[in-house]
Amino acid sequence: MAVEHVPSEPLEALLSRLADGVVAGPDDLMGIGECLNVIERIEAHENTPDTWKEDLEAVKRLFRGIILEESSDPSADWEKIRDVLKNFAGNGHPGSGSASQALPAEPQAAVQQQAACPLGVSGEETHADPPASEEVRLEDAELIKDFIEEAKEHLASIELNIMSLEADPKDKEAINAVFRPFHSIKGVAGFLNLRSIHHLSHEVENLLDEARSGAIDVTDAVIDVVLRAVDILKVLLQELEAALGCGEAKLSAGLVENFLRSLKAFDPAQPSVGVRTEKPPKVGEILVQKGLVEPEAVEQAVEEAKERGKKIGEVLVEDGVLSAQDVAIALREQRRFQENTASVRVDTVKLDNLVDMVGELVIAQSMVLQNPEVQAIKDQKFQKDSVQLRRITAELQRISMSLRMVPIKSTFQKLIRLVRDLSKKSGKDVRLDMRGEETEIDRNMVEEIYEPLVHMIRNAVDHGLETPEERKAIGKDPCGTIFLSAEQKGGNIIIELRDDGRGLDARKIRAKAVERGLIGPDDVLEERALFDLIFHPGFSTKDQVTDVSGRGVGMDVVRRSVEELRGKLEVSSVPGHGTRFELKLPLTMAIIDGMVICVGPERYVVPTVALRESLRPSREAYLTVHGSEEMIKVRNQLMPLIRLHKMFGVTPRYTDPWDALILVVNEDQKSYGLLADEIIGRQEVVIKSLGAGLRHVKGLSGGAILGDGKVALILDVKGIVSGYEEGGHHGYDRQRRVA
Amino acid sequence: MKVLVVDDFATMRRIVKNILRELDFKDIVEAENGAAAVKILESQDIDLIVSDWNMPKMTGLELLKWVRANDKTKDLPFLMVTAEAQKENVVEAVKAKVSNYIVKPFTAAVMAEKLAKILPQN
Repeated sequence: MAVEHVPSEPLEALLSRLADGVVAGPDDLMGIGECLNVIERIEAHENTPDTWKEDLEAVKRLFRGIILEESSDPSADWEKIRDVLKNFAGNGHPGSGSASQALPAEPQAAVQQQAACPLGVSGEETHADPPASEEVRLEDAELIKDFIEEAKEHLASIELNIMSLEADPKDKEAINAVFRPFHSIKGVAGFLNLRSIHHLSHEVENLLDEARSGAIDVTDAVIDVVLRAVDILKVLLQELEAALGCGEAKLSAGLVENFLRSLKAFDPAQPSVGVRTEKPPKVGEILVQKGLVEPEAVEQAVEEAKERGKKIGEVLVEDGVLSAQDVAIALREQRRFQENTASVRVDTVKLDNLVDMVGELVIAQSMVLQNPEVQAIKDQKFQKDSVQLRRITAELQRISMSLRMVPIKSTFQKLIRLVRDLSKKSGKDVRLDMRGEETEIDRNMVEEIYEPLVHMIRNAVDHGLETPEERKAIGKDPCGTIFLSAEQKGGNIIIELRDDGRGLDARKIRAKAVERGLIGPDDVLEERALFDLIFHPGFSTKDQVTDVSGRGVGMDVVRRSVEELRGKLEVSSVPGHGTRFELKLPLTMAIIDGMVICVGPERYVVPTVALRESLRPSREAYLTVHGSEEMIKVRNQLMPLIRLHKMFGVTPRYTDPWDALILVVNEDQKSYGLLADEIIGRQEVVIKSLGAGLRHVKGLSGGAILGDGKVALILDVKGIVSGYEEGGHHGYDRQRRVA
Repeated sequence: MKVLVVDDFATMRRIVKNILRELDFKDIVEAENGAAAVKILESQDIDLIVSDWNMPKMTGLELLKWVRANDKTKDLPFLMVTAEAQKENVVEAVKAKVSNYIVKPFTAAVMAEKLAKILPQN
């Protein structure tokens, strides 16, 4: 049952078309083209005997040689072709192989009789000691200027297009878009006699051509090579531009030679060219890390990839384990890692040192400028110069800080998948609405906030959102929404996580807290304090353990990890309308927003995030329990009084609380009053780690150099409180019930 | 005689134009890709097309196919500009009835030689 497509032309008609002198001569490419088309149709014709094939192939080969000007004797070849074609057309078929004898079975050694190619593109002659620089006489300055401008634009487009290529290495159009600029630059460089540029773009073009034809895959290594070539081209263009006025340019041909040498030894399957100390993570590792796929699945895919000769990402996508999008994200991440290694991969310790030193520079500067003798200088130029100095150091500080900042995007993106999975597992429709992914955050923190966010989102899906039926029944959109946003506000990053679920149930929380003995049955708590109880260790109101949020990890762990980042986590909720968590993080771990206080001759910095309020108590607010335990009553709340001077062994100015100052801090659901002499002011300080001698002192987290050059110690509230509790004092739980 | 020069790289168009001027072609219009060339071909009377191969949106080969399939333009001399590395493609172009091709970089003399082969003699 053959399917008839097009009524096929009779073979005889095709043959006679061949003979009708369709080709006027070897210069008549259009005729040759027509002839080749007819030959191909004859070849494909069902009535064509197999014995003709050889002759037809031979004719095609000869034509090809003529077309490409590779034939050593075009007119002789032309004669041969004519004979064969005549033979075909004359009696309907070539006389029993007679033509074959006239034809060579293989093309004659094709002599490259190229048109004059001043550059020797095929380039075998460049081996003998290349010059380190190429001297170029710039004849047509205006044309070269145009070329530089346009080439730059095209190079910029390469960098853009590489992105989409990364996302999909098989994207033909993307490969082409990267290929094209090299091709164009090469073409023009050929005319302008810019040898180095021509040579470089030619080689990269060849590499990309192989990628286009599918001969090689666009691996990360290939992308590396392309990006390096772009960099070198930029350098060459710059050199060219700089020399425009002088009529002669020296181009760094050595740079190109080095590159081309490494290109020769280049294996696209290799993870990278050149020396790299640290290997980029494997795609599989990234996928596992993101929780997109189980480690076992990756192992299996690796095996299969080997067997099938494919990449692991391809295998995962083909087997329907992952979407191509997921793999692309992982690839991009891997790529980003490599980019870092290629350009700004710096040991974070060095980066921290830099930030530290810049911080000290700022302080040293203010010490100098605040020196009374310096301030007495009336010289106007000095005034102007010191303003300039301040401006530069401030900018330097800003830049050095920004070196450690990365967009929060990568963390957010991992959560998309999480929500999708949770939604499937729990049978609840969930939409994730994200904003502010571009917000930048200290790279030390970006990893740390992932886990807390995962927990909160799990809780939101499991506890917060209702089932679609429940939602429909109360007139809500059956699809629940989780809203995640990040923004920079002042010196903080605010991450908001909100759901439109049922909200926190104050009644249930209270019952649970009483049952767990966290509060007394008759305790009066503000709603806020009640909600805050969910951060208490082990607290959970959900009756049954579910697959989604599981058991064990509670919100207490989440709050603790946020606090370890010197952040703050707060919750608010409207019954029936949802729950909102606000995560407030410092912009960076290197700087702390602190309150400088003074105890005796010493100065300390209390992180403002830990500080609730400060006040001078009345005599009546001070009391002792059991004759020894000092308590202070703040707004009807009784809290232990911790004497900082005792803790650090200094002599204070005031020993009576009503003369001194109380700093109220919160730690682990409890409040404490820290006794200090006075508050000096609020200040941002650069945290410096303490020397070996002080590192293990409880209650201190670091040191800072203040504006006047003196050192202040930074208090670690958690350490102070635990030091106090371990010192034989009783906990706060009991005390609160007294209140 | 009106020539249409098609190339996505402006500098390249300029180079081709300079060479054509040297050969005494004064009336030259430009297009930055095949699609733009089609618009010009539809609205103006062109006598010769000199087109690059690799362009975004519509390649030289696609343009050639359009030209040959269109009554108004099917007999126009079409000179394809190609690079040494892309010579293999030329057979493709020949099958699509390109008039001739020229390999970059070329001199005015080579261009003249090619044009002599494809332009109507008079």
